Amino acid sequence: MRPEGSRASDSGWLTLLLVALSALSARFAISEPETPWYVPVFLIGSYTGGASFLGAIDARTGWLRRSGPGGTVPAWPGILLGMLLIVAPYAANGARILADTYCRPLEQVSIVALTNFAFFAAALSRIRGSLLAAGAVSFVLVVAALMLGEHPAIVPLTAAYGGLGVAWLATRYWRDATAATQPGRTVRFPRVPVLGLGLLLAGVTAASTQMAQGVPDIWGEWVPASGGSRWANPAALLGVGDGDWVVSGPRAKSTGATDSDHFLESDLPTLYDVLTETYGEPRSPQELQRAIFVDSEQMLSPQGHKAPDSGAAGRRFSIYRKDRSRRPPAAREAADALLYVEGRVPLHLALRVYEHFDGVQWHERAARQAPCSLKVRGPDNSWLWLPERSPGGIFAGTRPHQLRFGRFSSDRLPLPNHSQRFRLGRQVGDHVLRWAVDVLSWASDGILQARQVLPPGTCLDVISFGVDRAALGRSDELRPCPPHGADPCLDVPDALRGSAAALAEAFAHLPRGLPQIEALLDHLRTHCAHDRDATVPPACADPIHHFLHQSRRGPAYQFATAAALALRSLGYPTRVVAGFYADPAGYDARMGNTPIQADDAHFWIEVRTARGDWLAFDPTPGYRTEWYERTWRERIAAALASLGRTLTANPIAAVLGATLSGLIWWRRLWLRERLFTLWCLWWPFQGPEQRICNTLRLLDLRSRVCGRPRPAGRTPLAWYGRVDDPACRVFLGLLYAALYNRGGVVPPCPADRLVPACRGAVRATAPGRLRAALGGA
Amino acid sequence: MHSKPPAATDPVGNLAADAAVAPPGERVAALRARLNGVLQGKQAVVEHVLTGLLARGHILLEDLPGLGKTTLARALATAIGGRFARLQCTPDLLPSDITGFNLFNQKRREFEFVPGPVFSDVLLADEINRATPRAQSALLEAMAERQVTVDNQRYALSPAFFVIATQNPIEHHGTYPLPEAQLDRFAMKLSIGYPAPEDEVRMLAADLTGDDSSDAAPPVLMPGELLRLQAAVRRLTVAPALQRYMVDLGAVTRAQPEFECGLSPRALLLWQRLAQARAFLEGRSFVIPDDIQAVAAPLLGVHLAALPAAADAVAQQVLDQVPVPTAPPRHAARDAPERGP
Repeated sequence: MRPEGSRASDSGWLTLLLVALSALSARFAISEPETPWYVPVFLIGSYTGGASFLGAIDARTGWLRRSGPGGTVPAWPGILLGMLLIVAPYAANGARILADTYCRPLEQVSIVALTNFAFFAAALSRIRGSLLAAGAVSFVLVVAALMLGEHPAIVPLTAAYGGLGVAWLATRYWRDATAATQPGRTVRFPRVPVLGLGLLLAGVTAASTQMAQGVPDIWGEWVPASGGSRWANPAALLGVGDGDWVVSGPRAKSTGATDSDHFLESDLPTLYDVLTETYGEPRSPQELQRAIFVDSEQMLSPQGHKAPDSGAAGRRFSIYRKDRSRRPPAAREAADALLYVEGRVPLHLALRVYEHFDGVQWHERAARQAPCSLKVRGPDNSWLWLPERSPGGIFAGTRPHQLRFGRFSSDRLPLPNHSQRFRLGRQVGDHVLRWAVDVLSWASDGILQARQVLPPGTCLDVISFGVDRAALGRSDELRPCPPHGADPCLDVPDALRGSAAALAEAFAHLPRGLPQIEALLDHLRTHCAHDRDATVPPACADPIHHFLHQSRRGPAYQFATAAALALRSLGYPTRVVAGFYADPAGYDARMGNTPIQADDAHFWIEVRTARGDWLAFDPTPGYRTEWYERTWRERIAAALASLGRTLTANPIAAVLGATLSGLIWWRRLWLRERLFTLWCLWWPFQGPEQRICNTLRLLDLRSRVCGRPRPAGRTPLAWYGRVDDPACRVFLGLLYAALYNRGGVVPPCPADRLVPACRGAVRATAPGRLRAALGGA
Repeated sequence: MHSKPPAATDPVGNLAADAAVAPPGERVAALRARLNGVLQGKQAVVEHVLTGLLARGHILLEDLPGLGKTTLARALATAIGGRFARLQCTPDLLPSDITGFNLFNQKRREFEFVPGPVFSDVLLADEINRATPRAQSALLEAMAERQVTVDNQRYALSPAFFVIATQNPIEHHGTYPLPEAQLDRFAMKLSIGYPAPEDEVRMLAADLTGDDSSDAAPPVLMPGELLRLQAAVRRLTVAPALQRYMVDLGAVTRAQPEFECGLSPRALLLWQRLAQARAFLEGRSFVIPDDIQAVAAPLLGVHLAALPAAADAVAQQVLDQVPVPTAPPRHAARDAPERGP
């Protein structure tokens, strides 16, 4: 029945070619940009040659596989070699970490391990399972290459992979179809594969509906982002990530902060420059005065709205902006990034905090002017601990990040929210520590400011707390405050009070706290569109109303302003924050970090809790609020700790559980036999062939229970024919007919005889009788 | 002729008989009874001889003198109703004494072919190891291809051509051990062994009262019936998993260092045919692994050049190393090995 020209026996070579294409694309994806094209080609070529050699050796000697009862399976040498090839990249990377030398990000190591396994599986493609595994892993490699890489060769390689993959699938199809359509074979509905596929689709659908991003991003989430290698070259001299030898060694070329006015002498952009570039320049007050027709009492005073100069730039932010000059979008060159973030993203990095809003401009709150009380701690006295941070409550575990200054000029530390401690540089000595303590002060609540501009290459290690969303939902930390005239975070301009109240009123009936806030923010995200180029017309007196009901689109500060004013109307102390948003989409797999460009300048809001902590919320569509997500290690540790607590609290139950576990382990074979007996006797959904083979498996299991397992070279008739029982002999006849006859057992044996025959054999070969027949112990 | 199957000796036979394939019938039962009557107490040997006959595989009987090797061969030839020829192998035997030769007829002024003993249905090559290798080689073509070539002229032998050769394992003077090429032509090597005391008493009693007319007994099979039986054997089902099982067993023999040479592909073909013949004799329409294992010892004994006493141990050693396939056919076909890189 095999069609002409189809050669299923060539699947091995086809699989190897498929794996080679996918591995080549993956290698291009993780190679350094300056790597010549022939290096990955030669590397994958050598992989292919090695796999061919291994396959030839295996074909000649067969030492990597053996014949099992269910077909050809890998032998122990093959299993060990495969495990070694998978583990070796991780072990080498671990050794590098221990040696404190260069190590690769986890996803790159995983790709290398997958490549090793794919070629090994292709070499063992005489085994059906190995061949299928090679095909599946090659698909994973291609997906990873598409997600991680930008090399121009990846797309054509993927296209070639697609064409070859179709041929591969067709070959598999013909082979399986030929096997399934042999004369007399009954083709059954593939329940298990369909069930697995259904579960997979349901899982992806559920994940895509529960998460903000779509299915393609979920595919990307499957490719792990480790947060980088946390490696630093001490001799790096590129401005970005300058090594410690350069910035703090005896011949340091970069000495950190300088006394000159960096804003004037440097061409590096400041946050003000970035915001202006991103959102356009603010309109002048005179222009607004001419355009806005409002009551004279509400007329804005020209004194407070002079054009921002370099000294006060950034302390105010006007939501009235000029149209941004049209220019081609800047290429996201990693080398020209403002900041580099290593660690889990998304991440909001706050630089400016605006609390007072006068209807036109947001004003930054005056600095405390108090010296910050940082405590020096840590094993090498390198960590600076922020005050008033303690775990517990709504805070979950900590999360590490490392930030490097690129082409960005700032005197403020872009710390994540709820930072616990930080340090400047990697090998910080006393000199640098004193400098850090002396020059730092609070710019506003939660924002640290240095006296001098932080130079490019400054490295900032930060440990911050994550907020447990579930714990926050359970707590009453977010609760409205009564109107308080002195609190600027509850102040709403009179001209906008109506619009803000109208927006807030729709959510006034909801439960107070997190549900109410999130409902309001979700409404904003779904009701309005994010548009950086949208501006408020100069003649508009109510920018909130215009944003919510007329344009229904706007940049991030419009969302933040509307959300902040509405939340203030509901009684939540809210402020607007400007800074950067580390987008997971910008993750650079080759460098292991997330570069932050000018486009990542962003506005969001923070809501004050009852304990005085400010919690970040992002109302802009497409931007995620970072909640703390426990790692698997933390989840396992928490589960183990919970188990330990439970056992400690219930010692009797622990002893009983341990005893029961020991009994189960001791009698595991007997227990398995009992359960499988019940399955064979009473599980109704067994086909004729499956029922017979399950009965044979039960007999084999019982022979093991009796201490006389059937040797692999003995036939069932030679072994179980010793049982002097007609039912057993009838079953053996059915078994042989099912296994070795052309038509199978169904034509000569109807179902009404089959089930009683199998049950009779199960009862006739009870362990006691079987032990007596086999003469075992 | 295929009226009803004989009594099955295993539990599979009654359930799995396929009406589409002819059962052995009464003729085979009568043939079995005839041979058992001649060689009393040696049912296993008789079953193997019948298996080899139906599988068209030649048999080498290796045993001591006087144990009934020749008697068995003559009884078989008589029973199947074919032409019987006996070749007493001696060191001065020539190939032309086996195959035949061209003789010049002076009257007709031309050469005439005088056929040798291979032009028979059953050839008894007695004491075959006493023939020189040159004479032994004359049997190679006849046994493998059922034809001989004399003076560039091919002569086809009987389609039912069947060789029973005997050799004495204890005498070495003036003997020439069979080369591997010759051994590879045989399907089985059997050893009859001494009869049991009761059988010997019965034999002695029969000798006093019997008429010694076994050669004059009528044949059991009708002309052409043996060929039909052999064709029916060939049609029995052999599951792909069992074919793979035999190939794995052959691979084991090739990988074992104690065997000088493993099973040849011809030996595997013979093994499959022998298993089919045994299934046929059991009244089954398909082969089971027990058939393969049942004929393993005589087959491996001749193809691995094992001594008769060690044949069972050698076969068990080989069989123990390969698991019996018990996976469902659907999985077995799907899990068939691929051709790898």
